[in-house]
Amino acid sequence: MRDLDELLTGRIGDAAADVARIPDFDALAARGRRRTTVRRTAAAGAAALAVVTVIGATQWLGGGDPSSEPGPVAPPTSTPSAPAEPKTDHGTGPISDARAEAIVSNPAATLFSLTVDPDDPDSRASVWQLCPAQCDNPKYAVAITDDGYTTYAAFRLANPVEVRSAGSGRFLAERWDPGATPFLLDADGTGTAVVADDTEAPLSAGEVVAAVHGSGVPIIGLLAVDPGTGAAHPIPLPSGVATWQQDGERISFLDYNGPTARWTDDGGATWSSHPLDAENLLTQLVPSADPDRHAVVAGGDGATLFPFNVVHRWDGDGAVQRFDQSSSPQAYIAHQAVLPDGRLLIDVEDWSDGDAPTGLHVSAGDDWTRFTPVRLGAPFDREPAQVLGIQAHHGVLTIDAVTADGAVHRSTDAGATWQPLVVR
Amino acid sequence: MDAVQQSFAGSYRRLVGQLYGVCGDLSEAEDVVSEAFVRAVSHRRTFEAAENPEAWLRTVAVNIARTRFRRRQLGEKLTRKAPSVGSGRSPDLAEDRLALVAAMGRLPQAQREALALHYLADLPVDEVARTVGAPLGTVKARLSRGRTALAALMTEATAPEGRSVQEGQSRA
Repeated sequence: MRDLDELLTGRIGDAAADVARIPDFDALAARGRRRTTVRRTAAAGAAALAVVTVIGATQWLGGGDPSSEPGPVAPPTSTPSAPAEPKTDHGTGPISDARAEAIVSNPAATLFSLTVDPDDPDSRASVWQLCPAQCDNPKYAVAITDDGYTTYAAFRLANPVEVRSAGSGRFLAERWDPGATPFLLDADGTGTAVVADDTEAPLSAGEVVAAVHGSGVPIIGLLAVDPGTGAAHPIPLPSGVATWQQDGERISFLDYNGPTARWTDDGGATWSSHPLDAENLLTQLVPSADPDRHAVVAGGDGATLFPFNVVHRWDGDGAVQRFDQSSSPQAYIAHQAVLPDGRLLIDVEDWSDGDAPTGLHVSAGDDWTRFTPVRLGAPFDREPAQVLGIQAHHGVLTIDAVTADGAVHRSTDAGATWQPLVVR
Repeated sequence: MDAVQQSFAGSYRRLVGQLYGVCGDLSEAEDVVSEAFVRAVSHRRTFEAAENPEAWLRTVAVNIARTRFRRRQLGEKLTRKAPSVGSGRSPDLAEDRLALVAAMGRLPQAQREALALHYLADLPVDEVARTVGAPLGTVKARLSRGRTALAALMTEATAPEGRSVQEGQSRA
């Protein structure tokens, strides 16, 4: 056999190019034009006929006041046969159009939230808010990509939504309107309504979880959604979900009656629970990259800031510990997570005495009452990191943070190094 | 002739050649390059604003190949089925060169992309870095590690039966 250098420089690419089958360009171009039509004028056939349909559709996509999106989508210059959008009891499907693109690409738009598929980091969903001169009615749009924003599809939103990755370039958008089912958005510009039946069953392989929000209660149910079709069913769930999260196989939630932490590792077939000694405190789940360690933070009602008062930690060996935090000075935190090595990471927004440094801090090993600032790598060695979110997935903790000029960076090593992340 | 059609006429074959090593399969390379042209039409303004249209198409095609690869992996995980990519069509190449392409398919994805674009597609390292969206130093490291791993895989392929030259190679 020839040596590696000779093999590698053997004009293999040229040989492949020589025998490549040339597709019909007109057919490819027609596919591209159809996709543009779907992105720009999904539901436009109906929109051109009736403004009310568009307002209804806009309402469908995030709920809220229809007057926040007063105008119709411009009708297409020609009227190609746009594919029918799924019909639900909430109206027609979501709208991907030039107005949504205009919001996303506007330099004045601010990043509202970012969701990255943990299994495919090129698949991302960024929600953008455009509110010039402290407007009364901010405009929102979500940009979905499966190629790291080389290309993307933008969808208008009447209100912000909670976006979760559904895998394979699709995202679930949870609406905050009471009882509203979520919808699926695809990087190809299509939207699919989630249609749930009444049959309770545990989460199956390939299904993803989405919440249905309530009125008077935060969450009235968790749905297992087939990301391919949008078909969904409820997951068996004890009542009283205040907040929930998913770390790999584990779905956890905090029960507002008690409060109690509950979790399942079998898709909701069986639930475990741990009562929390946190009466009259607000509680938050802590994303964990350590599969044997889970935690809940609790704090008093600090209005806009969350006072870091108590952490409950339970380990795989069954040990449960409570860590009361110092009140002099009092830390106010915005994010928290368990690192793969079991230490607690907190994002301190402020201190009661205003003297100590803010930003990411890490616990002194297993002692979760003592914290030191994390030495961050560039670019956050020169400027503060505004943490956008911290996620745990299969033992990896991911931190997304923004520089002062709005550039998003991502770290998977607790802030030591950061890589730029394109978000539109 | 419009800009996309012009690029199609001038770049389609070359792009398939460049993507062949990335995908490890000729039909897959044709599919991802075709899809890149579909996206050029559907994102015409972005495409026309690109300084180098062929580089834009290559980046999109590599991203599509990456996404399709991950989706196949996810599908395999969920269905527990064996990998299904590959039509069996190959360029007219000697057996050892086909073995090289097959061995590259066993490398981690990032190393395979770097090796394929630099060696098989003849792109300079800085162009590879731009295409895969990684810093120059990272691409150089991937090339170096990829070559070492590929050499081991090729030796393994030709070693007498039952003798493992290097273990622990992982599929991306």
